[in-house]
Amino acid sequence: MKKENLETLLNKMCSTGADFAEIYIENTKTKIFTYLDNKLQKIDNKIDKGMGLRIAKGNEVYYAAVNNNDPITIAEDLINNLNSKVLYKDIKLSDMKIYEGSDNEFLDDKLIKDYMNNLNHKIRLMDKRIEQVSLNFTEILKDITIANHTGLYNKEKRCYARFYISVTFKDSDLVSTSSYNWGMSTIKDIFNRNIDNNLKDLVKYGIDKLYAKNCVGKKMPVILGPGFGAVIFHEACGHAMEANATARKRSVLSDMIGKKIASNKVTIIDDGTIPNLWGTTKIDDEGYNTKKNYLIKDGILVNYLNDTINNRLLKMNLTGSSRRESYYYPPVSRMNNTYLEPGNDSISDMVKSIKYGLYAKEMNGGSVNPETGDFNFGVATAYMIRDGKVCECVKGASLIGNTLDILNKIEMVSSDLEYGAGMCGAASGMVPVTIGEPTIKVSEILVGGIKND
Amino acid sequence: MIDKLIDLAKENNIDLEVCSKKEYSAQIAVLNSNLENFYISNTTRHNIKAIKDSKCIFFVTEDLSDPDYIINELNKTFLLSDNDNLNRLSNNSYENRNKVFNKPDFKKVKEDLLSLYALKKDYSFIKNIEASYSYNSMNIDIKNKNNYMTDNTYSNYIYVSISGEKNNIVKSDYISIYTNNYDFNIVKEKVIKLLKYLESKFTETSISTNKYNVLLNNNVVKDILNTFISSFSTRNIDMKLSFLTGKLNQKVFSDKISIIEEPVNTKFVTTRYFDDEGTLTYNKEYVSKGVFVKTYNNLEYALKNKEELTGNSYGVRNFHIKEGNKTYDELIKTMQNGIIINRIEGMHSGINTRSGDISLQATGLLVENGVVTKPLNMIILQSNIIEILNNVIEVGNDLEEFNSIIASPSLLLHDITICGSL
Repeated sequence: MKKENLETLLNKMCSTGADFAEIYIENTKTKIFTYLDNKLQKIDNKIDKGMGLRIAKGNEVYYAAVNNNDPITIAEDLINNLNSKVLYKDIKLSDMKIYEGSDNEFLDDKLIKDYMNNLNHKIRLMDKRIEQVSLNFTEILKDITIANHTGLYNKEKRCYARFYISVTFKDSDLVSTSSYNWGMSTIKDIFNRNIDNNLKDLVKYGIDKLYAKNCVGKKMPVILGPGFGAVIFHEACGHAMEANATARKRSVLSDMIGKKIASNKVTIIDDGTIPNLWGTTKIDDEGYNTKKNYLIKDGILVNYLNDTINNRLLKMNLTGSSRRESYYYPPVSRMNNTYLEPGNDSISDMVKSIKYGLYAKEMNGGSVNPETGDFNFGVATAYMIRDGKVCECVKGASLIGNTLDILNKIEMVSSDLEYGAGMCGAASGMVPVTIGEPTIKVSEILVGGIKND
Repeated sequence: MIDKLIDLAKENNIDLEVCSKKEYSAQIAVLNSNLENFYISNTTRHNIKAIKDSKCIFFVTEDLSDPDYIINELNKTFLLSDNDNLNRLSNNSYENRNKVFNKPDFKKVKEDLLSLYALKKDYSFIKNIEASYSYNSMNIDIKNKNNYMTDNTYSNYIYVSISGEKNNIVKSDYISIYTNNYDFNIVKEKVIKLLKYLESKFTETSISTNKYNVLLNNNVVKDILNTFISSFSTRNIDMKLSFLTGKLNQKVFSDKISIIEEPVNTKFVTTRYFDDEGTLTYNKEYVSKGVFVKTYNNLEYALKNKEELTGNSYGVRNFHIKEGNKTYDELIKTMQNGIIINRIEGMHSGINTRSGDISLQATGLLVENGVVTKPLNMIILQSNIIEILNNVIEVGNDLEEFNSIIASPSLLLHDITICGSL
C-alpha cells in the first residue's frame, strides 16, 4: 500500500476520536519440510498476506484483521464504535525506515533434502532400538510494515529457520521418545551447527527412558539442566511480568516493582537484540526498537515488559516488547529472549548437596496462571540423585509450583549459560522465543510420580 | 481467480483443487465494568491440492494474485517430492446454502457481559471478571475442474474467567461455552455455579501421593482425549507415532468404553458434511466396548491402505466417548471415597502421545463418604491413557453439547495415582 493511502487510512481511523491508530501489514512466506519413515514426505508452502488495523480510545482497543476486503470499509466498522472529539487529523508519515533481515531468500530445497537424508541415515545407525526418525524443517521470510498516528513508518524484513528432530525407541513392548531442536532468526547459518554431541545425548536419553521407572511423587530438590531448563522462569515469572497482566492487576507480580521476589541468585534479562537468536527482532510489532531489559536484578523486580496501550496504565518506559503472531492478532507485551544471568556455583557441588532429588536434563514446555502464580512445566528426561550421586533414569513428569514460592528457592546457579528455542502461546498468538539459563538448583518443588520408591 | 489458477495448472499438466475458507468473526471482551476490546476479522484462506505424475502436494495461501508464482513453486516441489501419493481430487458435489444463522445483537451482548460485574455485590471476594463473546462463521468452497462443493458453519463462544481474593490469596477458574444459540441465562447460571465453587477454593489443600478412586469430570476427559486425538489417525498409527500403533482390532480399553464420531449430528455445534478434500463425512465408531476397531483417514492414507474413506482430512468433528447411565452426582455417591479432578493444565507438555504417559497439574475435590469435603490444589494426575480408559468403574451421562470438536461424559476410575505435596 502506498504511503499516501496509508495516511488516508490513518486519518479515516482517527476521524471519530481515536487517540491511537495503527496499521500493520504482513507478507509472510513459509516452507515446511516433513521427513518421516525414511522419506521426505512433504513440503508445505504457505503465504500469509493481510493487514491489521488497530484504534484505541483510552484503554479500549478496536481491532480488525482483513485480507480480502477494502481496508477503508473495515475501518468504518471500527470507527463506528467511537463518537468523540477528533484528536488527530492531517496525519503525515515519516520517511520509511527499513530494517533489513540477515537473509532475503530460502535455502536451496535440494540442500535441505540432502541434509535430512544424511541426518536420518546417521541417526538410524546410532542404535538398533531406534524405531522411527521424524525430522521437520521450517523456514520463514516475513516482511512487516507498521505505520501509526504519530507518523511512525517502519518496515522490518525478518527471517527464521528451525530444525526439529524427534526419535522413537522401541524394545519389545517398551517405547520412548527423545527430541532436539534449534532455531535461529537467520536462515543461511541453520545447518552450520555441529550437533554430534546433541545427537549422542538424544540417543542416550531415548534408550535410558526405555527402561525408566516412575519417579516418586513428592517435593524434592531438583537440578535443572542448562538451556531449556529456563522454562521454569518463562512460566514462573516471565508471563507474570508482561504488562497485559500487570497493568490490569491480573498478575501475582502487579505492584511489586522494587520488591524482593526471588533469591539473590536470580537476575533475569529479556533481550530482543541478541544477534541470530530465535526470539530476536530489530523492532517490535508496534515498530519500536527492541532492547535489553533487566526484569529481576539480584532478586528484586525492576521492570515489566510493556506495550503502548497497557503502558497507558503503567506509565513506564517502553521496552520494545510488543509482539503478535500475525496480522490476525492485536499485539501485547511478550518475551523475546529471556535468560537467567550466570552465577558461580559448580554443578558437582549442586549434585553433592542433594541426598534425594532429581536431575532434570531435558524439559518440555509449560503453562502458568499469571494471576495466581500457579505454574507447571514438563520434564522429558530426568535422573534420580541419591546421596550426592546421579543414579537411574526415571520417567518424565510434570513439576508444579507457585511463582512467589519457587523464585525464592533458586539456591545455586552455575556458569554454563545455554539457550533453547521454543514457541510461546498467549493472547497475541504463537511467537518464537528463546529461553536461557545455566544449570540451577531449586531447593524444593513438587515432582509428579508414584507413591513408593 | 480460482478458475484462472485451475486452468493455468492444467496447462502445466497439474490437476488442481482449491478448498477456500472464508471466515468472519467478531469478538467483544470486557474486564469488570470496562470494555477491553472489540475485534473483527474478515479473511479468506485457500488450501490448494495439486496432483502430477502420481505425486500430490499442498500449498496454503491467502494471496491468489500471482498464479505464476504458485505454479512455479508447485513445479519445484513436485521435482523434489519422494512420496508417491495415490491421491485424487474430489469427485463429489454438494451444496448446502440453507442454514440460516441469527447473529446476536452485539450491543446487548456487551451489556450482558458488563452486567456480570454486578455479581460483586453478592460475592464480595470477586477480584476480576473477564468475559468475552465471539461469533464465528465460515463458508467452505471446494472447486476443481469438474466438481463444486459448498457448506457453511457457525458458532458462538462465550468465555468467563473469574478471580477472587481473600487475605491476599488469589484463586481463579473459568467457564467456556460453544453453542449455536447465544443464551445469557445459561451463561449466568454457569457463572454463579463457578462463583460458588471459587469461594470454596480459598481453603484448598494438597494430599499425599497415593492411588485413589478418581472421578475425572467431563471437561478433564475432553482435554485428555483432545491431546490424543491424532493417535486415532491411520497416518500416526502407520508412522509409529501413536500409542495405538499395532493395536487395531485388539481389546485396548474397558468394556465400558466406546468412542464415536458424529460429524453430521446437528445436536453438536460444528456439523461438517464433507471434509477439506471433499470426502463426504458420516457417523462412525472407533472403539467398540473397549476394542479399537477403526482409524480415521484422509484420501492419501485411505487409498494407500485400501481403507474405507472416513472423511477426516481436517481431523475429527464431534468425537466423544459414549454416555453411560449415571448422573455426575450419582458417580460421586458411587465413588464414596476418592478424588474429583475438575481441571488439568499443561497438556502440551505433560502428555506423551506415543507412550501414552500422562503427568498433569490438576485441581480437584476430596470426596469422603460420598460427600465433597475439601477443595484440592497443587496435585498432579499421574497416569497413562490406557490405564485411564481401562480402570473404568462407571461412565457418566453428562456429555455436553457445549463443546466444539471433542466431548466426553465424566469417568469414574479406580486405582489412579494422584500426586500431592503432603
